[in-house]
Amino acid sequence: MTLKNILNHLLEKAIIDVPQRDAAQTHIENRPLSVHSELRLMLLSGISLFCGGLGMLIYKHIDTIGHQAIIALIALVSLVTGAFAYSKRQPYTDGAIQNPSTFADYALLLSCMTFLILEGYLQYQYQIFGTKYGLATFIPALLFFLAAYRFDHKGVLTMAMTALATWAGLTIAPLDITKNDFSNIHLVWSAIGIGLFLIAIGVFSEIKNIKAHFSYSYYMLGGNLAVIASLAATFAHSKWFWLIMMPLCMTFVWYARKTGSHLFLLMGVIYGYIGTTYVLLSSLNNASGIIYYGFASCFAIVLFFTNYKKILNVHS
Amino acid sequence: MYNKQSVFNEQIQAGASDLHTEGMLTDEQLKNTKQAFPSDFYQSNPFVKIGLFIFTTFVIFFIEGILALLFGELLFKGDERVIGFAQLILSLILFLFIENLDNFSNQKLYRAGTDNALIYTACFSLNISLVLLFHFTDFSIANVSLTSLIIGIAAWRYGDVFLSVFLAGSLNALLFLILAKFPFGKAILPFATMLYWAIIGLASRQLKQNNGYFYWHDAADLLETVALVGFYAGGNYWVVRECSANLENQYPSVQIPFAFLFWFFTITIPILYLYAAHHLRERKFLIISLLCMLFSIATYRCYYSVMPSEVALTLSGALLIGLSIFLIRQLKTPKWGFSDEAIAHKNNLLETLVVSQILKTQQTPENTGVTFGGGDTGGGGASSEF
Repeated sequence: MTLKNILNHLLEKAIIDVPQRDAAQTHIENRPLSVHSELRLMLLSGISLFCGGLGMLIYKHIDTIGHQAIIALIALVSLVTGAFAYSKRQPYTDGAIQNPSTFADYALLLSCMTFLILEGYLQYQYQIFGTKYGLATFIPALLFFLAAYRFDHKGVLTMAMTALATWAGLTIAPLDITKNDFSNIHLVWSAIGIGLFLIAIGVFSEIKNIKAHFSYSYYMLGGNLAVIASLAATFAHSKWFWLIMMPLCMTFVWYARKTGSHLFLLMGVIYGYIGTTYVLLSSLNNASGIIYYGFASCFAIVLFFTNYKKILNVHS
Repeated sequence: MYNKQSVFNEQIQAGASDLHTEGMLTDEQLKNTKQAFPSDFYQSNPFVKIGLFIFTTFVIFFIEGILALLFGELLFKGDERVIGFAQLILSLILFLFIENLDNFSNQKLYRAGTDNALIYTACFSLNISLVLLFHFTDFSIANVSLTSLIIGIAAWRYGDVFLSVFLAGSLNALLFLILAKFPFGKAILPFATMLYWAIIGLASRQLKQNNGYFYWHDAADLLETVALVGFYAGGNYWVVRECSANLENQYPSVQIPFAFLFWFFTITIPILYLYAAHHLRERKFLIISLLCMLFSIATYRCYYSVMPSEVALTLSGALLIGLSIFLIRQLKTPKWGFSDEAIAHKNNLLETLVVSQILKTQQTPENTGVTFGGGDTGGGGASSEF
């Protein structure tokens, strides 16, 4: 149905009257098409393409004369955009800040991304941090955390968390998280440690009300990292890791119930189901048992999702 | 078959929410709409739907497993027709179950994930069973026609969005299979594909705008989008060249006849879509146009190397940044039928101002009987604010 038809149906039921119908009609016919989010998406893809290209460019042309110029260009971009973002800064508050400048947030993002390229290159070519590789990844993490809080920027916060995870030898990006080598038990423990640490910061920000709107990002990245690491460890090392994973999944569901975030509900249920199923079935070598269990458990989850509002007492 | 009245009410509610978001309905009016057009369908969230879809599919697989456990001896001894017959019975039971879903579930399910999973698996097992019963080969004309028929009936009955797309896709495959049998057919294949998608697109646009076919509105809407992509792909140089190489088993692919014509399509169709987006003020044309433009550039780079990829990435990134900054600055005041206004959140004041402004110029507020929030702020409009 078109909006025009819908307006007529509303008119029939006397929810709106003729003048409002006509006004809405005129508005629908004459309103310009808003390309607000499309343009921002375009700007973001431009930034990521640009940085991806630069990252390849400096390593491919490392022995040519032009590469000094490329480095100078990257440094210049990082400085200029950083200075622009700084000049448009708003006074710091503990709450969310709406920056009136359209481009300040994007400039900061570009500045941080080019800084990361530059820093990585300087370490690679000139070993500015020598063999202290930890320092080379810890400095951007620290810097990005400071910038994220000063400029109230969730994107830079995500970069800071990514850098922190890199410092511990981990990949945190949602789609790459399984690329971590969780057969290494030390990596599992550092993933769980970093994940819990990030969750703790999120809880702290909510309690103290310091940038409370950052907590979702902390829970999302930290929670996923800790749950996936403990799930992988349940498979690869010991079933006892289930005891770490399951409380986390239940926390996800609890958080979903508290905030109405259905993504956390889905993640909690799916991770919890996979882990629990593995622990229950790994000792069972009976094909028919597995099939009957699979049917009953999946059916139970379908019933749960169909009635989750009643079960969790959620009101939409 | 879903309850048509509820589907109708659901659509009115969705449209009213859109109107409300843009500030054309008040909170009160939205509430009244929900009361006047009640929908008893189970309301959930996309993520819950994904969960329901996944786990319902698992349930059906496990039911098949249990059946195989119980009757395995019987099934796997004989020929595959016995399995086909078992699948046929299973799919019929599934269809019966879908038709009477309301009796089995305490919620009325409409596109809730569960019903989608049931419909797709029922169609799938019906198709499998007929393939086994009649010994069809995988990608034969008979098999594809049968698939189209099954999906067509299901898409018509349930108004399902993905089934309708799947139907259009399998009809396209059928067209391909039939034309590829003749040398003349092979030559006109790209044009036939473009014509096919043009017809599908125009037909679904007609269907979408016809009030009487509201049951299939969402299916037609998605189909229109898919038709735009299909029409472009039918004329795209890369698609035509690689497909014809595939048909003739020539690798690497060679130059095709009428190459200039396909280059012409590759370049002009995205521009045509951009013009349509401007003319019709529809977002989907704009997005598809941009994606097609990207694909056209990729097509060109596939055959003519202009610069190394890292340089291309950097330059195109810089170009995109520059272009979007330019456009954001330009569109501060709406131009060419586009604007940079933020998509309204609930009761966005900007939109409310615009509408109240229109209302004010046409009617005196006393007559309209509607009070918009902030309606007494005079003039100016949204453009200077943003």
